[in-house]
Amino acid sequence: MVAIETDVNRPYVPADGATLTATVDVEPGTGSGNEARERHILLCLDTSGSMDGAKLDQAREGASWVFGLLEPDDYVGIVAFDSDAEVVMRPQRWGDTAREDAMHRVEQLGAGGGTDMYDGLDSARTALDSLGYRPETDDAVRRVLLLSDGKDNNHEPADFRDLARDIDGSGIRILSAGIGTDYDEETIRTLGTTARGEWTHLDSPGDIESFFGEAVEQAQSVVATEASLELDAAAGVEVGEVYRALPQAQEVDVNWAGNTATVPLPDLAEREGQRVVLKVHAPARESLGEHSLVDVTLTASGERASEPIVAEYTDDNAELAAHNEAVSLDHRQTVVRTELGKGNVAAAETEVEKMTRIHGEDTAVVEEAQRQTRLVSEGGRTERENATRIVDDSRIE
Amino acid sequence: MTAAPTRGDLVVGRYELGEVVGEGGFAKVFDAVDTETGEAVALKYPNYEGSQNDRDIVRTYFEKEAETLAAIRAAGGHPNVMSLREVTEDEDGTSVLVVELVDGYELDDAIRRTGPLDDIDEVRQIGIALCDAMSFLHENEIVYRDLKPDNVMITHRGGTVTPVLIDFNTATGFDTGAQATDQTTIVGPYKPREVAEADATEMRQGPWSDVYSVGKILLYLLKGTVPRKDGVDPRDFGAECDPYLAEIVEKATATDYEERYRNATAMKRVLEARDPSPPPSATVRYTQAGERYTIYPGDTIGRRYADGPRSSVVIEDEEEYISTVQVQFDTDADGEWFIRDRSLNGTYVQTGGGWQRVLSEAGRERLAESGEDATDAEGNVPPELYGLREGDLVALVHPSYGVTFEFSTA
Repeated sequence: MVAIETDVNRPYVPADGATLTATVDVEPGTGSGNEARERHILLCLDTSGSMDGAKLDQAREGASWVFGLLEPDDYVGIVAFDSDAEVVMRPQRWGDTAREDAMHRVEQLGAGGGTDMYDGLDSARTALDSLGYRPETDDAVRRVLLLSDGKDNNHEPADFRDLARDIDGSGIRILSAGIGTDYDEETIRTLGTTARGEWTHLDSPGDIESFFGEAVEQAQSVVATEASLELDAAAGVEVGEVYRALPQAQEVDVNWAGNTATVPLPDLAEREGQRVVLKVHAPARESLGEHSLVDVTLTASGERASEPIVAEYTDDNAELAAHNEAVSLDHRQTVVRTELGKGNVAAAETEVEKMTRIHGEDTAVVEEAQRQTRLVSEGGRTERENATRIVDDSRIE
Repeated sequence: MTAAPTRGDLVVGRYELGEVVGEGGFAKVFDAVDTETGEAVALKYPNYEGSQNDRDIVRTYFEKEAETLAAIRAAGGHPNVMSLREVTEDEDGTSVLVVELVDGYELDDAIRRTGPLDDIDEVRQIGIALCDAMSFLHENEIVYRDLKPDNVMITHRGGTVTPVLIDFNTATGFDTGAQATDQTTIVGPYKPREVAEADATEMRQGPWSDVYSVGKILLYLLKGTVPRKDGVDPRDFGAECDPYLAEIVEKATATDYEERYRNATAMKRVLEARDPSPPPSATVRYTQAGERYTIYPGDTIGRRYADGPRSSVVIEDEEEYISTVQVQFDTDADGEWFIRDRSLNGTYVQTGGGWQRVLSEAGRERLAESGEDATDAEGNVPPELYGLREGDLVALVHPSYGVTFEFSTA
């Protein structure tokens, strides 16, 4: 069963209103009936000239690893793109596919030509949509795993945002990986963020296999697709600065319609809690007491869970002093991490200064934000990506 | 505030510290020379300064490791398990473990350096050694919770590649009380479902849980990466691998424990024989409860104990006369079945007319300590091993204790 939990930094607000920070934690629950869900995996591989050598070799190894992970009822396809896109293997049921045939197609991949990533992704979507006639596709976990080392020759990041929206709209999540130092970071970041996947930087060809492997294993642990939070704001309440904090720090495209907004979420995977952070402006009120500011409803694979974001209006100064610092820190930290992911060190530093002023420099979260900012300012693509993920080593076995 | 140990220090007037060779959340390890013997050793300090963990937690884990290593030494030690020389205190009163210096690389570093192993026989030998080490620990009532590549050192001994288990700070004996460290959210691929999801599953943990971890380590040796997936055939992941080894790995990593090898001894045998088919089984019927269990060579019967090593067949025993590993079944080179007593109170076998007591050496020593003599009226010392035939009865503790099994190979 899915569940959500909301929290605010200031549980008490004065009668003339205040701006609060809130967190919404999404607990994915466990995967009952998960076995029935199909996975549709499409590998979308850059085979432009610069991929020649170790990168393409490792992409082949990565495909081999993916084949090992697939269950008979999973579907897998491959699209390669250089100067144009080619469907190397139409999505087909793994149980009906001979491993040797699939490997043969992968072995045949050659590198040469330019980079038409746009056509590659468009073909990947079309290929996955060819399974749309099957009713099982509605519940399937559908993924494009994109690997590229270059810039698209003819398209801008904004074009990719539109394409990713389209792809996301048809129920397909993109996990995008850029390898090396020549790919366009904004494009890779936009694809993963917009199509509710993740974006990843790969330092060396040796990282390709685990990128593919982890993406497939993550897909296999999905318990609910088409997840979103619906925010229903009470009259006068304003919501802003919405970010996904977990699994990856990302800005969210919030779609408002009147007082309600939808926050799209990545698919819910077992044991992978998600967190959304936001700012809520509580308007002035004449009557004191508890008020619901925003009704939050999680929908995922037809399941629902609700919890309001509430605040109590009071004129008691002692109560008004209550401050749940962890919630404030979560939001600021997420902003810092998101900006660092884009390489905006100056913006991150501004946020860190604010954090330091309010929470003190000895706070663990502040220290960590300072450390991440320093790493990114001195580092490169690896550090920028690392900054967007909170890894708590002590919880890894 | 005490001075941090540094290179060149002479610890307890005997061990001269060298370089830091390892540092983790609980311990910091130096290589050192025993100035009395000239031997290379390793000194393990609790890592209070370099760890994010609380001082008390570091101390607890450090003490746990010292206890476990002492228990291993008391049991005679094992060539694939790091051995303890002494537990001592330095001049500041800080505890120090003096252990053998295992010269080599952690398994994951080794594979990162060399790439996956091409030599199938080397993979097989490492598997056999790990199985042997896990059997040894199990028989001595020590649970190794965390078998994974970074807890195994790879070293060269006698011309062959040998794995050695290190890091016993998460291992526990059966009497150390409950652990509060299992609140993990991210579970590595080396743990079977019944361990990773212990709260959410009714599947029993047991010797087959170690079998799973060894199976995954073999895949790691062959491929250099390991998926979380169960039932993995290395060939499906592109590994070049003899069919017998591929089948052993697939069987060892099955989701359902009943499809795995039942214990590390059984897995060791199939690796030795290069034949994935499980060894011959027998059955025992718990006569008082009416339940029948299939047993394989290496299987054990023991008392259910929440935190202890899980025997293949577990018995509720509120009086606690039955040991957590009471008795082990095995076959000899001719395939004949026998039992080996592992308990403190002994086991009886009724064969033909009379009952024969079978008692482990530890059990004999304990009786001797309390002034009793296990020697019977005819002056015979109870053996540790005893052969089994069709229809023999095996009674735990005493024939009148009420826990009796009827053995059958039919």
